[in-house]
Amino acid sequence: MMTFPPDNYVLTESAVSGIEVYMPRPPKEMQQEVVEFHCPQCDATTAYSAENGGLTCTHCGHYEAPVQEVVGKAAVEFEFTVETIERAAHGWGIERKELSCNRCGVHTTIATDMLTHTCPFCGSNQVVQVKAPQDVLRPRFLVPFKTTEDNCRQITANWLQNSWMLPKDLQKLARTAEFTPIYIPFWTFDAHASAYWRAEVAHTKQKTVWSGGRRTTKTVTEWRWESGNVEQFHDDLLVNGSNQISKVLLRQMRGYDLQELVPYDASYLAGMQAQAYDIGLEEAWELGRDAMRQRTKAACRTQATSQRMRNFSMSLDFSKETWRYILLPLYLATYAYGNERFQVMINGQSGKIAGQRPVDWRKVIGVTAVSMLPAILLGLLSLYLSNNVATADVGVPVGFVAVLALIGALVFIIRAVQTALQMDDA
Amino acid sequence: MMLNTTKTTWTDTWGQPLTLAGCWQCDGVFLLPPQRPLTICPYCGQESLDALDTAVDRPVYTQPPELLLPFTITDVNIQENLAQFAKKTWFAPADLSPQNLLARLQPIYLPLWLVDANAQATWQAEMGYNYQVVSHKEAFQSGQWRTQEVRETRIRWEPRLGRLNRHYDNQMAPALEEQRLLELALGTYQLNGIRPYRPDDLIQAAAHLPNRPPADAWTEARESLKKIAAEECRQAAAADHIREFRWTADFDAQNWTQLLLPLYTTFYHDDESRVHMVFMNGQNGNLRGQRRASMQKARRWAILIGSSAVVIFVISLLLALLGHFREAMLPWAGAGLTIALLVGVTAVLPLLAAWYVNRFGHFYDDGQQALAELTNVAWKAGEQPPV
Repeated sequence: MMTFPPDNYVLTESAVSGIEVYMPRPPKEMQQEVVEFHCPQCDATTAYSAENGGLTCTHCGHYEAPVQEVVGKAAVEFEFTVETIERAAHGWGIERKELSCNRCGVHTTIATDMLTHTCPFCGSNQVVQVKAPQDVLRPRFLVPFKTTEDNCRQITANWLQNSWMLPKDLQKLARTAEFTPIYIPFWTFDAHASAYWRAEVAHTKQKTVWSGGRRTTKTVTEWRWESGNVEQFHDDLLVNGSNQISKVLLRQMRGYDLQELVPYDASYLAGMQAQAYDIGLEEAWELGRDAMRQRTKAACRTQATSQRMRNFSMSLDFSKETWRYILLPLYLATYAYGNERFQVMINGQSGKIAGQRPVDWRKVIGVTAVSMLPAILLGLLSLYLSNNVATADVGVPVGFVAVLALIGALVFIIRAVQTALQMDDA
Repeated sequence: MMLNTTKTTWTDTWGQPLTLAGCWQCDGVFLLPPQRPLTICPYCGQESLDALDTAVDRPVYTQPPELLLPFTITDVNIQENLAQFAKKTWFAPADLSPQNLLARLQPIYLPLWLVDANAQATWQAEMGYNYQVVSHKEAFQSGQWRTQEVRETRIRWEPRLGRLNRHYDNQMAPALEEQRLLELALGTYQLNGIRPYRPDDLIQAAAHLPNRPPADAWTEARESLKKIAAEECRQAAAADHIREFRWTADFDAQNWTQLLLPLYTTFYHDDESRVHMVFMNGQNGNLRGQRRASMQKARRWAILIGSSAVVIFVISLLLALLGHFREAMLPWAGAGLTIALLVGVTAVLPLLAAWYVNRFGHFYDDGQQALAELTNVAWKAGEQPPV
């Protein structure tokens, strides 16, 4: 016999007397504000392990398998409701949250935009299930860490020696760098774009004209109106939700595979740092829409029969717009070289690395100077040969080769300096 | 023919000496004022009314009504409505005149059940909540993007369930098989003018006795209560929409009340002397009747127009003959032949119009369809013998 009400329903407000209304019970997960992780065997602290994808005891090695299944891109997406946008605009505030450690009783305060905390006194890992302004605005999905700290060291060591521009003693710093695993907030956006474009497109053709009694060929440009429609689906466009991470480095290190998304569970955050968004939904959606606009515009322009056009105009209707708030894994590390500190980021899923590297400018200048030598020597040889009557005929081709060598050297120098500057500035 | 009602027993409870009569055409059972001649059925207009013996022919429900909704439409409105009906019928039969309709007008009360009940139920439904989503329309012109925000209302469906313990008063349930059709044809009666039944209410008017007892009408009453309960549950859950409402309900404290509703009936005969009923809601004057065109009248018009065409044709032929002698006559002859042809063609229009009216009616809506069902099914119009 079915009991009434069913277990998964709770009594809710009713506007009519004599009628009781029950609604599905809200998910239990968020009812626990702080989740602490202890080993069921030895009570020591447990933390998420990228190596085996579960909780591992730092003391006795007890392993607890992950509880969630991979949902990938099937992860639930949300609509842009007026209510959500208004509430998202409130953000997380600037207050700090007071936490009382259940283990040692010490009170500590953390910023409200941090989702995890490790008690500085007993080392207990705590995940703060921050109350979001609306349920959908808490992280609902994440990509778990797959890259271990040891992998990071190896990747960093390789990265610090894969260019001749880097100082020789840099590689050993990889061993001393501290890698902090952190979940970074990201927004993903989907939208269907229906665009109509119109532009005057240039068509060139050769025309023969008579001028001053002579027949000449002229290139004439004819402008013709063209138009078209583009239907484009933008799937899972990623927009960074944090202002505190270098956008340049994030861009270099992109390439998260969202097929590995799993539903949010506090255990994935145990022992990691995790940040809540500080770039709100509306602001992020504006950035996302701008990226979609540019992509759709580019797709419209490719439809034209020529890429030279003027008076380009287009209308663009977005529909089926949805979003997700997710956490993506990242390792952050800094190392000191000389008097400077350099930042490194490693994609916690793919192991892709990006960061700043100190450039040995003496080496760069030396190598670029040496690259000029063949051109200079060939130039001098060309001058010598040209001044000698017997070898004057050979001087010209040698001079030509010298010019080519000079061009090659200049290209090399420009590329080298560009790369060096990128390494330094990233 | 007058029936002696002095022997009746249960009709005494109605407070008036009334005659029990039954119609073998529409199966209606009526209580008529004693002075009313037992000839024409007040409900189907046929001469098929027979006196019944109250002791032998006991109707399904004999109790007097508790409540009554009085006739409120004025005589002036009645005359206007009937005149409009007669006037707006194309090629109306000779019998369809406002005078005839008025002369045959009969007031009759129709029964309706009002049920009170306590309901205890468990229910479940999907509640729909409106919400707005924001979308964007963009335009790129002169190197700049212009964005327009668009808001669209959508419905979020959520499951809800609950318990209900409510008392319902005066829920309508049919006391006649054809109640739904009558309601469709004549509109809903407003119950705010209800008063207790008085015996003198039936001095002039007939009363149609229920052909559905409460136990039989309970199925519809239950459905009607379910609809009300669904709406109340929607309000309780503060939802904007509801769907898939299901309930398991127990009812007690049921109380059935018979209410009489006012109706005027009248009729006219078509060319074949068939009866066609016209009904008028006695409260708001809504009138619904079968419109029949007279094919005889249409034929007369067709002959008249056709004759005119023939006359024009003959004159045109004469002009054509004259054209041999005076050429100026030939164009007139040509014009005359064309006009004769056009007039000749239009001669079929009255016949077509009359056929169309008899086949499809002037217009067709739910009310007209309900009337057609009433007359075709309940009154067996196809089987009516000529008067």
